[in-house]
Amino acid sequence: MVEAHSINAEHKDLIHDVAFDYYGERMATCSTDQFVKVWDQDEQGNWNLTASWKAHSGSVWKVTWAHPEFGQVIATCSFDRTAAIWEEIMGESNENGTLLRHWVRRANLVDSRTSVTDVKFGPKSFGLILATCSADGVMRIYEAPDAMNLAQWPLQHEVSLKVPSSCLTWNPLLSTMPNAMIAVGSDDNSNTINSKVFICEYNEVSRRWAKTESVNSVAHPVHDMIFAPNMGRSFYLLAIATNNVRILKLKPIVDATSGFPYTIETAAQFNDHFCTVWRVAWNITGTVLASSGDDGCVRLWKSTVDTWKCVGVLKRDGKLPQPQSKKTQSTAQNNLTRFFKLGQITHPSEVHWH
Amino acid sequence: MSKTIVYDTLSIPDPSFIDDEVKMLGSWFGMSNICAFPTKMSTLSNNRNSSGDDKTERNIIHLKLKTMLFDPKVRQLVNESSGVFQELQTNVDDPTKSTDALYYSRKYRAILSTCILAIDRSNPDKTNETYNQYKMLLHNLQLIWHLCEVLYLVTVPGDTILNNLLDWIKIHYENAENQASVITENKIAYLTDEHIEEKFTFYWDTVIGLVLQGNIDTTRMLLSNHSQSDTEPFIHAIKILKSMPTYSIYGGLPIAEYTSRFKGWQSSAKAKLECGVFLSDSNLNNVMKIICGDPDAINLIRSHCSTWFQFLVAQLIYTDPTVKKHSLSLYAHRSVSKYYEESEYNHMDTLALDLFDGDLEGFVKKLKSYPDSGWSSTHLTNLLHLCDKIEPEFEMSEAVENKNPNEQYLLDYGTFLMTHHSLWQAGVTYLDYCSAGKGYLSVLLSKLEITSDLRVSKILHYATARRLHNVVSSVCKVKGMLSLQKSRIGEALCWAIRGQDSAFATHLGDLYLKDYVKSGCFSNPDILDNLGSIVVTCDRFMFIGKYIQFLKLALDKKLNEAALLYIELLRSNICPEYFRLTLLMDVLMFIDDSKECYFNITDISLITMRLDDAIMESNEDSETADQFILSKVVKIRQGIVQLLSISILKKKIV
Repeated sequence: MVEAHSINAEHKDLIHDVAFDYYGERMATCSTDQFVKVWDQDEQGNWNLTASWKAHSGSVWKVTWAHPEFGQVIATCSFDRTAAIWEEIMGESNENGTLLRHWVRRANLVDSRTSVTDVKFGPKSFGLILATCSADGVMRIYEAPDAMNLAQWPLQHEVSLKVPSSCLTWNPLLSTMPNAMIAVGSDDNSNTINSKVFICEYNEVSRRWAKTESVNSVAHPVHDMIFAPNMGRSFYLLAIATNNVRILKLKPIVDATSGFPYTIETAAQFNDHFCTVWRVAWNITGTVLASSGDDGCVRLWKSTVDTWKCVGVLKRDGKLPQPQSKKTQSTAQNNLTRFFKLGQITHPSEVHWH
Repeated sequence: MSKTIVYDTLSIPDPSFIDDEVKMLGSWFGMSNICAFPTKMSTLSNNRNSSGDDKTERNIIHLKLKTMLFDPKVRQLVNESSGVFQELQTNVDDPTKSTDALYYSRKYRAILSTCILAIDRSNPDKTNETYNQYKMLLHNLQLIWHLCEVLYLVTVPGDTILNNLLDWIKIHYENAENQASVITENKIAYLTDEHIEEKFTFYWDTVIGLVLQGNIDTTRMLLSNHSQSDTEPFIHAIKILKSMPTYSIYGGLPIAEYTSRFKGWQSSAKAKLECGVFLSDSNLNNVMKIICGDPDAINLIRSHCSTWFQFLVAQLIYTDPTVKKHSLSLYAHRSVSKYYEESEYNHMDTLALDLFDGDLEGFVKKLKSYPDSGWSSTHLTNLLHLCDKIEPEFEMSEAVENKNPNEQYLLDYGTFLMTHHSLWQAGVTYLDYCSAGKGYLSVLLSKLEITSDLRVSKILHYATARRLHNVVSSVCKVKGMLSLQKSRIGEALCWAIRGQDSAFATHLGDLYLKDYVKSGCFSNPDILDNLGSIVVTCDRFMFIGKYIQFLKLALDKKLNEAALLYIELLRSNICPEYFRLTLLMDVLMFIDDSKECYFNITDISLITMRLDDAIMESNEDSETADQFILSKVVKIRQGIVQLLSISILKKKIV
């Protein structure tokens, strides 16, 4: 049985990204309307809008949360060629006794000369570190040297990939592999350049970030990528949204002396969407992948040792009228949230999310 | 062979999707929830002109999985079974404790029964569809678990399995027996000479039901209650039933001997049947046909069985009462094909068939997709694994990564429980017994929402007990940052101390000292008085601790001791830069009317040296070299001169 909960986002234009904090209790949304909104879940499980502000002077493409060990911090990137870091501040409490919260811009990262297409905080073991990529194909690394001071975000590294970049993802890494790694994807439509996925690594000796590998097996535009959380596996899984769903397996080569120290193989490839795939997302343990395609479906893929299979499909449906929407929307307190049951699944093989 | 649907499709109805161009993008959030939001895809470079009066509805949809195990009524199943699970794991390692698989299997089944009863109690009029469904699911589970127990865990001498199968059928299909007791307990019919078979329309159904469960004694009792029981056919029938040889393992009869007796008994019954002794009552004739193992009776048997396994066992009683375990597979397949007109098996059928086939691995794999979120597959595989019934070989291409075949089940089930706000502690139990469990626990424990303080201390307790120090420090840091956000520095410091986080503590220490520079006093004196071990691990708090001690001594006019501590503070040079002048200003405390001398010459030279350092540093950073600092420096200089003059006067040391 699935319980669904619908929240009117109140954005005046397309929503581009929805990001949740580490615990899944706070939600940030961003839109073409240049606004960023933050939603909080109360004890009853209702989501309430707690902040909404004009964050950029162009479409806001992505929003992402820093680990809560660094405080309540988000980063955004926009068509206006900037990325920004925001921190939530609590002021004096108002007459009702509730603390007033608001988000302040701690840093504006203006190094890109084109639209900034993705922004992601690094794994917390590397400190407060941020990577961005832009339409002109440059991956940038920013770092706050003092994690308690969010005002200082010097640009540390620039890696030019020379093709329009659309997305990036940090490898969550095993502690035994200290070299930080980022994969950057390109949605370049021209067929002149074959590779669309690049691996960048930090070199401890030269203290520089550099592109260390181009993955040739992916030749179609890449729209989203994400490394799976590592729960003690000896290899890394990289999910890619391109003309299909692709899962690459990066296996460290033991005793590698020179060159790229990983073997890259395709662990799985699903063509079930029959069209472009826009988004991929891993669950908390890196065992179920959710892929969203142009067919309007979200498909769930689960691995059992070495085989992958589809364990569920979510299908959008705009045709059905919403029988309860009018009634619940009129209730004053939770006018933003409505419940509806999607019906019970009685078949023994119900959707396995876990 | 079997029709298994691999996945289900969920429709997400929402007005956001009225436009076909609108796509749905999905992501995960929290422990295991899915979020879907509507968007349109355009090339990123395409700058759209956003019109402010857009009225399109854009809804973000949150999906939460609600499973049977999360229902409050079913939760006891989770909690109690985790207790049994833990008991079993600890006893396996203890050679003095018995690990009788049958004992634990029955324990698990008992928990299932209690849970079914609890559901029944809360749903007395059976109107709640959800609970009816849960009951059905649990009931089927109990049935299949019991069959597994009968076939694999109970040891039967000579492998004659029928009696055990009968016990299994009788427990789960008690309808006939219940009806029989309704009939026999009705004394009025007996006294008033009423025709019992007319009063109870289900009379013959009950008789046949009993016969099909091999319940001969009750059958005889019912027959003798029949209004015609003193007529010839009934007397014969009752006599035949009475003389039916029963096989018992401990009864002494060897199988061959028993088989010949049974055959003899059945052929004499058959002779009577064929003579038409029972023809006067067609129902009685049918019963005798079944007893004689007449092939014509198969359709009759079939119509009285609600499942093919009931059908299988019913046939065996009168055709092969000493059936061996290994020939069950053949009989089972025959029964299924006779029972179903088309081969349309459901999940239960394939599960039972696997058991009869002796395919435990196939059974366990199919059990995994039973909609109990892995409860049965986890506990049963664990039990079978510990009894060495499943060899660790199946589905393990990467055997090195995962030694124990049961482990994947434990990981999945443990992770699943961890996603629930109140069952997570039970989940920890299962992850504890996985070799990869520690990695999972360290991620999942730190992902648990830290809503209440009670919960935080529970998480910290679990993490500490498992030496997951990274979880402890992470949780404490997050809590500390939340306190700091609310400007509760004292609370934040408590978290820093609890998490042994010296970097965070240094930051908080700086806040305290800077506050002191401004206001001249420390906030949260109670916390600062009881700093504990943080003074050892964090330089800043070592300084704060010593400095507070120094202030106290000075306040109590124990200036001799205070002077010693003061010099120690200056010499060790652990004072942060921004606090140097404040510390040096304290030199004025030692100038009082008593004209006592607290410092010797080396001490005073150290003080002047530190003052020079401070002046040099502030010159480097020209912004801070303001009038205020200069006035301080002057005061400190005057103080030093005074101290010097006192010491020269007093001790006459040069």
